[in-house]
Amino acid sequence: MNEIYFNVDAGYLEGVVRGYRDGLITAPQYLNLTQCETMDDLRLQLATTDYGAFLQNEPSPISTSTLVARCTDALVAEFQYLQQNAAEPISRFLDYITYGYMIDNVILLITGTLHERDTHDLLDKCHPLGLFDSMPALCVASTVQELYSTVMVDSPLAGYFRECLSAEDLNELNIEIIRNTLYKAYLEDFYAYCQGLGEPTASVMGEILRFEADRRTVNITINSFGTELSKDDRTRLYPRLGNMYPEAQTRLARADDMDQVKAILEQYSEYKSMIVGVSLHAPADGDGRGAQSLEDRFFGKEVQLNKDAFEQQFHYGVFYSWLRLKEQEIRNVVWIAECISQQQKDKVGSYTAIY
Amino acid sequence: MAETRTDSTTTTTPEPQHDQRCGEADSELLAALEVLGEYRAAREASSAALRQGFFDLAVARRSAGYRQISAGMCSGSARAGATVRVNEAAGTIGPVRRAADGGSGSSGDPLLWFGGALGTPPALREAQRRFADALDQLAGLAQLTRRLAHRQAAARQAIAVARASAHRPDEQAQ
Repeated sequence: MNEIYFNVDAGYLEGVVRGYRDGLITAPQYLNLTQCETMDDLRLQLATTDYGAFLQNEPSPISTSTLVARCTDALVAEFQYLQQNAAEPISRFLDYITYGYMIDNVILLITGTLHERDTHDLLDKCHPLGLFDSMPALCVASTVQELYSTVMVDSPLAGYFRECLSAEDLNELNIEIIRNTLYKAYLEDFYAYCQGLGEPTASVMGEILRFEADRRTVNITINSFGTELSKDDRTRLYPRLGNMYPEAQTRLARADDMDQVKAILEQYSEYKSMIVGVSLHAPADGDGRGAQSLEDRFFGKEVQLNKDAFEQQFHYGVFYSWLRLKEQEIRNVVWIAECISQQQKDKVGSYTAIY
Repeated sequence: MAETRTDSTTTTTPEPQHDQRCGEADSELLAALEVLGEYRAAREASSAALRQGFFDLAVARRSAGYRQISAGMCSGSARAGATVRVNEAAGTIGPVRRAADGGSGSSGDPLLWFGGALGTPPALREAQRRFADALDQLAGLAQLTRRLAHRQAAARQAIAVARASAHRPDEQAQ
């Protein structure tokens, strides 16, 4: 029955996002980009892509920071077009996607204030998709209670603060714990919401979000090695969903080094093939297509899941998947630009091609 | 006959003095070339450390996000964590001294600016290590630059003295 009524609310937007998907950079275009010798050559090649209009007014020579900013502007413009033309229930789904960016902006403002950055500079650095009205007031808060009671209680993230209220001071360690706790609550809430939307959105988004939870679990584990974070605190930051919940998470919580992480992942069929040949201790080196890092494998798996979402129709997952593929495309373009500007042409092949 | 008299009136021959000067010039030149070799090796090592550091930084930015690791996230109260004392009068450059608290104001480790205790990817820590190594090498490079300049000056002076001693036998013969 979903197929009959889907196009009434979301048919136009699905058509638009599939058009956006067709504008993604293809493998032959990536090859042309990797053969550029200078940033100006790269800009010339990007002129035929969706980013051309956003780069044409930038003065030469263009820096990688400017490239990131303009590419993000292109992504934001396209997503905001979808939001402006969305009605319920699709608008709520698109709002859910923006909550992740809101969390990043909240943490950026708090961290910047803690390190005595200017408020206006910090607001300029926030992601445009994660802006909300009371954001400037975040800079005056000094404890979590104050943060919640003065600012967050009226924001879409209010419900996610429930698990953070035990933290008192906003220092570096607590801020990171707050970030990961907020994102954990957001991911669980988004997952529950998608399951409530019914098929096929539930299955498409469910698979993508479970993978996202697993990736966060592994990243939290790896990033916490050598830090003050206790193993109990590490467990509390793991999302309560995903293929690794609860058994693998229990074992990862006790891991002390990368070799143990690899040994645990090898016991799960979904991740065993991802671990084969991975270099645990360094990013890709050599000719750029040699030993990949675990992160590269995660990027590749994420791209595959998001591409598969377009194989079905009449679900909301295409909007989420397009956004993630677009973000991966920006990472690829900026990576190629960094390799060109740093004269590291042997590493330029370490991007994750999409189509 | 005059030539014989000229030959018999000379008390010290000029060749040994000239040879001695040439030997000294050779020694100074070799010493300068040795320092130049050390300088080139140090320069290549520091360039390699910086190059790898910037590459690791690019990897970290791709991993953690370009907004999280950016110049805009640096602390407004940052202090130098490492210093080098330069004595212009004496022409000396001291070793790198690191602050006990890591500098960087009240935050300690500068990595905390970019994601705190958990948000920094391993590549960022690796980049920090490489930049710290590069800093030590660059301080050594600055010291080598001074030594090289002194050696070059000494070699030029020794060569000039050797050339000057080469002209004197001709003048005396005339």
